[in-house]
Amino acid sequence: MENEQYFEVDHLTKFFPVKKRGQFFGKPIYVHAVDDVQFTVRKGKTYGVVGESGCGKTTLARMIMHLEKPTSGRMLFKGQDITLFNGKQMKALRRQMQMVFQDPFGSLNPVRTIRNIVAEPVRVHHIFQNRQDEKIKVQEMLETVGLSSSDEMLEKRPGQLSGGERQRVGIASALILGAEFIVADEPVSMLDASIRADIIALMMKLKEEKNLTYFFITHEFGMARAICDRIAVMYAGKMVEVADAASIVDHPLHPYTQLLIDAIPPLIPDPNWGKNISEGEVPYFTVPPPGCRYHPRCSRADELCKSEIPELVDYRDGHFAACHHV
Amino acid sequence: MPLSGNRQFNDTDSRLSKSIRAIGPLFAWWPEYRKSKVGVIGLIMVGIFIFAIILAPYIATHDPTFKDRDFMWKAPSFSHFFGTTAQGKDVFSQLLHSGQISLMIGVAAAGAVTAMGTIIGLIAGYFGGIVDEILTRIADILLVLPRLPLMLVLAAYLGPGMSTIVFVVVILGWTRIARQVRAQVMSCKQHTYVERAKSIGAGNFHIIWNHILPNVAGVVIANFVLECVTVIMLEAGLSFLGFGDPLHQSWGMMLFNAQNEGAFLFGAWWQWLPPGACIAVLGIAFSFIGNTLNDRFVLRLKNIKGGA
Amino acid sequence: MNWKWLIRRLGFMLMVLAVAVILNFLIPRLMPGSAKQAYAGKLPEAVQVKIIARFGLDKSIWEQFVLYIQNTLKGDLGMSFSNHPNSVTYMIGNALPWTLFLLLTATIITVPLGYVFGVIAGWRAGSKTDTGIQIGSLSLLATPLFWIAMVLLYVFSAQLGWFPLRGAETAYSGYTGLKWVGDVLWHAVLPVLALMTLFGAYEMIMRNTMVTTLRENYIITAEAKGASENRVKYKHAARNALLPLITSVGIRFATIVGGSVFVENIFSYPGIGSLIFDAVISYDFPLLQGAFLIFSIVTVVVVFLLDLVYLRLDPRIRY
Repeated sequence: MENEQYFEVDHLTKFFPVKKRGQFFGKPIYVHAVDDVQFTVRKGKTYGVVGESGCGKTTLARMIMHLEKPTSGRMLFKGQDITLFNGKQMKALRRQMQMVFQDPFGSLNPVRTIRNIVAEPVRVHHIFQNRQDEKIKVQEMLETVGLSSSDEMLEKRPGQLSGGERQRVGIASALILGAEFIVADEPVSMLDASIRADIIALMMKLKEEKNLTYFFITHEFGMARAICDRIAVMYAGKMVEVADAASIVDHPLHPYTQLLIDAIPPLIPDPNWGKNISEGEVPYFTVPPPGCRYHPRCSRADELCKSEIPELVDYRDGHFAACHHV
Repeated sequence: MPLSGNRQFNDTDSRLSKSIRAIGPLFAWWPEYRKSKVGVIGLIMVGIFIFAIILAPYIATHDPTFKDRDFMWKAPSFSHFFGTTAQGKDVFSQLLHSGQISLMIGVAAAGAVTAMGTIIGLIAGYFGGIVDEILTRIADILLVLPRLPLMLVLAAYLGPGMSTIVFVVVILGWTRIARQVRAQVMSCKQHTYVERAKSIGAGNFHIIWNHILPNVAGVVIANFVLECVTVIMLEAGLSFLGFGDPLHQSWGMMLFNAQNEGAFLFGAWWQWLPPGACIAVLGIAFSFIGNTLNDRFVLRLKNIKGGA
Repeated sequence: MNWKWLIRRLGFMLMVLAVAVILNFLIPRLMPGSAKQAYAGKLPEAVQVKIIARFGLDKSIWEQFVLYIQNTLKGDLGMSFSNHPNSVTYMIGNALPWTLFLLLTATIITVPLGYVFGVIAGWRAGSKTDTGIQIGSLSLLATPLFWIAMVLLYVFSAQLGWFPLRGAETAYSGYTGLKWVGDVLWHAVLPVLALMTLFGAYEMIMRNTMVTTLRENYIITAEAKGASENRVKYKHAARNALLPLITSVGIRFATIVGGSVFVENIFSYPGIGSLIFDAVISYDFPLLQGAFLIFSIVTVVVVFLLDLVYLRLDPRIRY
């Protein structure tokens, strides 16, 4: 079945303990990085997570890739519970799940050649018996992402490439194992604006060609709208609105979503833009306030919001929102 | 500083030739190193020493063990460049031959200390947690305890000999390098490419070998050279105290003999001055090199301005 | 006053002492040869029996350990082989003041020396002065201490006769009061001079910290003031760089302690260093171990005192 649950997350939580300097006694304080998150990704679709810095989306990505262990909750891949997979099981799984990183500068080892970097996944998994086959595959991947596959290119080092080229290398390396589920953590945020379109276009093309499923994290709503099928908006560790892309932009239900949409600069200068956007920064909750996390910044907030946490409720055909005053 | 390399690997090449060519880019450091006059001087000095020492059997004017009764305690002359010892042995020849021992032991022991320190630093830095805490704790304690007296206590029980010296030096000397390596490993671990390697499914060994070690190599090499200085001096000191091996004379042992034979009281300065001078000069040479390596390659990476 | 930090440091120091004491206990028992040999080996029969009884050397390990701790706390470290009937404690007691005198004098002189040179070198980093000072420090540090001592003794004492050949005071002189002090100082010049060559370590640390601090401050306030403020920065940066220097004095103290073994021997100075030297040559185990223990205690005390100084100077951990 094409649309069956491909990747599912259930009540996923991650709390980070925070120690004050020199504090030996007393209860540790926890940062609620990801708090009871739930979603389903369907095969072949792009699932977007939008949120500002500190909302927990990177932690979420890292948990999916098993770079962090969840405090509680479950993750299911193709119906299988992978939450407690050990190293060995994960290794097999990683051939199907790969990550594209945000930082094209830091994510590639500056002393290694492009060939070694792209080939690293297949070496770790001992795919090829000899270097010749490996080299052919590496060249194939480089061409797939739009880079030259010449010997000269293979011997270059990351320092000799531009940001966009490095990110392409990152993508090549993520795809070389044939993974079909790609977690992309803000893959273009650190690239120049003109390059972003190229990389996104490449990612979309690859998606079509190889029937990939993307878990796409970004802080830009506009980008999410352009390429995602389904969008989840995250605030302070919780998902506040989840819906199909078109639906969420046409009828945003949660005030935060509205805020993010309003914050997208219009192409035609509008003197009224920017006036109603509320103030404040995304908080870094250790002790979360009672009730709705957003209420300190919310124009609709009232007594109910301050005391009760709103649940994600389906308001219309799979359009979920967590707010008392939709 | 990107290490450029335009070498081509043919996949039919043997692994050996590929390994050798992989070191090629390492010589990219030469232009940088050359900028330090002090460093170059150090290299030249070490070069001269090694050259002379290797050629010892050919340059030496006499057999260093031959006791010439007619020439006991003679001041330096044309036939004996540095005079003779109380027993009539030629000092110059002794210098050359003992140099072999001193240098060999120095480098070997320094290598052992570096290896042990690097491994411990690697483990502490990479795995962290309680292992790290315990190791750091031990290193801190060793740092405070007076090292030489402890070495002497151990050495006294183990008796004289080269193995005693090496053992004692290694077991108390790893802390400095371990600290440096640990710091470097911990900063290296933070890099995103290490995360990436983990997300690919690489095991610890793969990550350490491919991502951490190349970045740690600079620190290790610079510290190895500096460690040579310390070890050469320690070996000399321990031999001077009598822990050396009489069958394998080192410069330190020459000093030991000088003291025992009363060269000092007799005024036979030529018996104790040259060996000490050799130790000093070799030590200085190594420390110039080590200091330059440290300044230019280790500290530069952290953007601290170097000096000499 | 930051008590927590202080208590943690105190705890650490006690741990170091405990390790030294335990090592002292374990080493003779783990090494080739028996504990009996280690404690009583070369003593005459009658004394041997007494020692064996005092340290319980024919009883179980635990009983030995308890007796050992008790004896140590009482100040009984055993009987010296080469110098019996003098006990180890007696000999160390006689020697300790001399060694402390040398070490403290040397440290008090070398630290400011290193400080000053380091500041100069750091201030003019990259210049010829800096390079010159660096070369000087490196060279001195790479030269074996005992050889330097030999050279000093030979040149200034044996040849030129400016300083005495041996000892801490002129033997049988009967000097008292000021004359005695002068005599002692005269005897101390060369040994202290030899120990002073270790100042290079302080100089380099000071210089490096100076360079890093200067870069930070310099860039930040570069546009702010005029030339006269350079002097202020000079002093200000130097003061900041003082802190790591103090830490390193503690670390270096262990080195200087080791150095005293050689220096005292060459100058026949009757300190603990000489004791250790003689003990090593004659395999006088009890003396050797006792001296190690005392040195450990001295080092720990010094490091802890330095920690207190550090606490006073560093406003960050004060409160």
